[in-house]
Amino acid sequence: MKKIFILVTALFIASCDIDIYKQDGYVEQYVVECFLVAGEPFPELLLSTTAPIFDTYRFDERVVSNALVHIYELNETGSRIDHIPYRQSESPGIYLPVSTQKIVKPGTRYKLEIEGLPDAGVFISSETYVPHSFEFLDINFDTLAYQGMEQFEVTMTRSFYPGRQNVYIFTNEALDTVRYPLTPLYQSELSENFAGDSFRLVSSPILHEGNYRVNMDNTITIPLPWIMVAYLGPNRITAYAIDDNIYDFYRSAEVQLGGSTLSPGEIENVIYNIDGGIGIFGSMTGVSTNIYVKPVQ
Amino acid sequence: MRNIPIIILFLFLILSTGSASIITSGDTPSTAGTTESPDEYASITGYVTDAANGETLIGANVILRGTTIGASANTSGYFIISRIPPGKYTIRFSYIGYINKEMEITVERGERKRLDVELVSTEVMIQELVIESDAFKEELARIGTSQLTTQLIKQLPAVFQADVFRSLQLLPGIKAASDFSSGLYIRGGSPDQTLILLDRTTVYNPSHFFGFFSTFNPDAIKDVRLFKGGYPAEYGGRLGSVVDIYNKDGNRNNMQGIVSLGMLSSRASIEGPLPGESGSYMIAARRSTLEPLLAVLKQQIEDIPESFYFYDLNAKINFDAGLNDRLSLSVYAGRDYLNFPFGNDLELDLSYGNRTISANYTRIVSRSMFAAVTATGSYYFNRPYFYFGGTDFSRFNRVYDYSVKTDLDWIPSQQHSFRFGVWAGNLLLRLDDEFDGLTTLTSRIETAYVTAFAQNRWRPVNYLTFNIGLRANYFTKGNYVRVEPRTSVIYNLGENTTLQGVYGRYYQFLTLITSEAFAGFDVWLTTDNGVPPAWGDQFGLGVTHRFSPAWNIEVEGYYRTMRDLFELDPLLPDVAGLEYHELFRFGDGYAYGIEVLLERTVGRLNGFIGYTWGNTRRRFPGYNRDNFYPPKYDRIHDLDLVVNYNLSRRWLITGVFNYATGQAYTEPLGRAAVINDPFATGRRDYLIVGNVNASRLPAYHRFDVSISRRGRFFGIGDSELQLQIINLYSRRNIWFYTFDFEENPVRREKIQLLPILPSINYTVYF
Repeated sequence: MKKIFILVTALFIASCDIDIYKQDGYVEQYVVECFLVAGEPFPELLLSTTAPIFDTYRFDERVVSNALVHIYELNETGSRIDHIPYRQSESPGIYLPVSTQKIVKPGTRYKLEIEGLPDAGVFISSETYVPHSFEFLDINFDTLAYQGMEQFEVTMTRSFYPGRQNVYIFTNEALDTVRYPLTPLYQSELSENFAGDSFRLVSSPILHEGNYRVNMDNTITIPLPWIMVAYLGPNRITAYAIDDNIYDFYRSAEVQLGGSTLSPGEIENVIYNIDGGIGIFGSMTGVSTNIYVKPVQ
Repeated sequence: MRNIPIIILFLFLILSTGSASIITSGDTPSTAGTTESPDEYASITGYVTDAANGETLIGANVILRGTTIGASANTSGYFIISRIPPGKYTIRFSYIGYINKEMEITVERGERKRLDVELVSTEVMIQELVIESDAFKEELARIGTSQLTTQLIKQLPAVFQADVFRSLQLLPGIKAASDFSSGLYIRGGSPDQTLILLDRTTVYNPSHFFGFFSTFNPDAIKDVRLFKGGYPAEYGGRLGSVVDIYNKDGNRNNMQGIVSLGMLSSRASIEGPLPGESGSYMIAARRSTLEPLLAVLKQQIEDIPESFYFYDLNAKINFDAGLNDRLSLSVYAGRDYLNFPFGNDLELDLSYGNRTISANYTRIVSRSMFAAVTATGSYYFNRPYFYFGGTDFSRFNRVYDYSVKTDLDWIPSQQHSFRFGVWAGNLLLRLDDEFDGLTTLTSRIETAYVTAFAQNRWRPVNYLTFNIGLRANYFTKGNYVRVEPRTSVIYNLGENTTLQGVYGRYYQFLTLITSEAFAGFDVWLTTDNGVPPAWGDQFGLGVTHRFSPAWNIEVEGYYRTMRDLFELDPLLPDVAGLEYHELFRFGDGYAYGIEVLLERTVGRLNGFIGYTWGNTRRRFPGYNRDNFYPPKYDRIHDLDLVVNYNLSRRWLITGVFNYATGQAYTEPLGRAAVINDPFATGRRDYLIVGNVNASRLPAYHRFDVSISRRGRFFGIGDSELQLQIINLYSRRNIWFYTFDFEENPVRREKIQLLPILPSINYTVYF
């Protein structure tokens, strides 16, 4: 028994020092933010750095200036066929296209390259494929009473994205938050947890096209749930078909907020699809229509 | 098919040793080629039961003193001792918590002696835990095996009410995720890696109050057997472990009952002999009694549930169709319900529960053979409904599992004890989701399954026992055939020390989508094409030693692998339109550890200390930079101390102390933000993390105490008043951290576990 006791004791003592999996430390990284929208001019690009978790965070204190930013249009073989140069704006960390004439094309691949960063040798790059264009064909009503018998439904053509089904995010933007009140649900949430115009822009979760029935004419009809209506009055509904980068970024960022099957406290990094930095270089194609929500009669 | 050589080896070991067994004598090592007739020997068979109520005693030990001839009662309480040389013997019957019984017997050549024996509980004599040890305790002494008495379950301090799973969590190798979860995390495995059986029927969500309690009513339970790892071939379908629970058969001698009033729930049960027939019945019911508390709270606090309750019902009826035939029917039904309207235009309505039924027929086929046929049905459902400002979401999730199983015990000699079985069934998983009146998901997964096993306990010499088994599985969903070899070796080093080793391969065809924080939405999924079954190997080594009749120690080490783990991809925002295999992420893992259990089993002061040193890791491609990481429930050190002290015949004090390494969590290192979020008003902050779950919460510790006083209730029956204090020194253990980005700099907030919680129960036994 003495041997067993010694063995157990030795194992116990040894185990106290075994920790093969260590916590690593904070490393500052470059952060990119740029959302291309099909049919619109090339957008501004924000370049900054991360902050340590318990530091005060202000974007204007983390900006990265004097970088060289380029977006290239690529053909199917990956060769560059167009160049969209960027310049630094008057606001540090914000870069604008040199020309505002160039428009983001749907069904096109673009590559971002950033060089001339403060850390010599660091080079940022990322690619996005802009979802193909689609359009709203019809909306069943342009005016409805809030939570009435009828519900808004839009019928739209289908976008296209190579290698997977279409993925959408729907937004509803309240167009007049001054004259029109919040709906009761958001009113109660607002009073407790939020302030200002937090609900001016409300979006759906990421939705696969597989959720919706495809009509005989290859269109899809999508009902607009009342939960997306935060304000009465005029609203603008927009459907965005999103690329892989937005899909990956938002689905993983959402998991950081909880609600997935991960245990509480288990957190994984957001999926960035950016080499040399983090953030998002994404693209989307959107279509919009306006509705009017009346109060309940 | 790479396993074919292993399969052939195990078949050879099972069957070839079996053929030799028929021609070997009872007390002599095997000698193939001997030609003695079975009629040269006698056999003794029978049921071992509780003298007070006739309950069969599963795993009771029977031994002919002065020999190594003996047996253990099977799960029907039946024992078979074959090939006994004619002569006079002293036969001894023993069982945990019961007084040994010895009888002088004489057996003649060819005699088939039937001995149905009743044992007297030590509870009648004195309030203490008694565990007796015998040479034939292999079944109990198997490495990784534990048995828990309902008496102990009821004595242990528990949050509001006695609970089977929370009691199991005190044993080495078993961990709790939190104070709010009764889920069993055994030897590094998640809860879905443990097979839960109630009267031989699979239970798919064994929880009440969304995971806070297990579904098993201690008043209805007779026996809880836990196979932490390396479990034998008679069980299967899970990678890790088995909890095999049997309901009481009911008192065969007298009608008796229990009424218990508690702060959270109250219980009542009644049992007795079947009128005019040989048999018994048992009915036990339990219901939460929160309504008065909710009514008071509603006067003072907003956002109190409109309705919040659970109930369960256990019933069992047994009928003796003859000396050799027994029938039983066991049913369980339980449901939890919550209706919670909060704020304006917001409502949650949820019900979930289980129903099980099992009909069991046992027959003593011959003096060396015992058969059991069981038909089982298990139904699990959950039905959440959410209403948010005119938009509703509803889900209807169902699991239907119907099966027939048959087991055959054949004990031709003292050297060999065979068990064969076949289990066939049909599993149907249905899931329907509706969002805003639109059907967004309709899933119907149906699969048949067939398993067969053979195992042989082979004892070539007195001090050495092999358990060799083979289990074959066929799962129609994905058309998978898998074979699992299982084996263990027990080596007795004298009377008081036993060495054991175990190896087994295990396959799992199901996975569970669940939340550690809330078990009301559990969804099971199966393998299919492109989703192969998870599998793993388990290795274990252990030593048990009895210092004295009062003290014994068990030390066990284990290592297990987990391969082809499949679980719902946590990053999936939506499952619509995906191929089935795209729902999952596939990974692997491993776990290893050492468990120590030191028990004092007799005396006024008794109890145990359990210690576990363990590690478990997981790895999924694309997650944590493809590196292994510890899941949240990984705890390196876990210490449990359970002490009972009998102050007198009336007063009993029980204390439970638990210390564990803080759970793993992911420490955020940095932050960044989407400044111009196109999908929301304002900024979207996000965290930058390093290694997943590389930090540890502060150590967890808690001390619970229970004081019981036994008395009489107006001459009607015995009574017990139990005062319990959970977390006596109100240690505010941390469940997890949240990060509030509304504050700048970000503020870390602690989500804490239970504070000090007193509770009181009053029970009347009549």
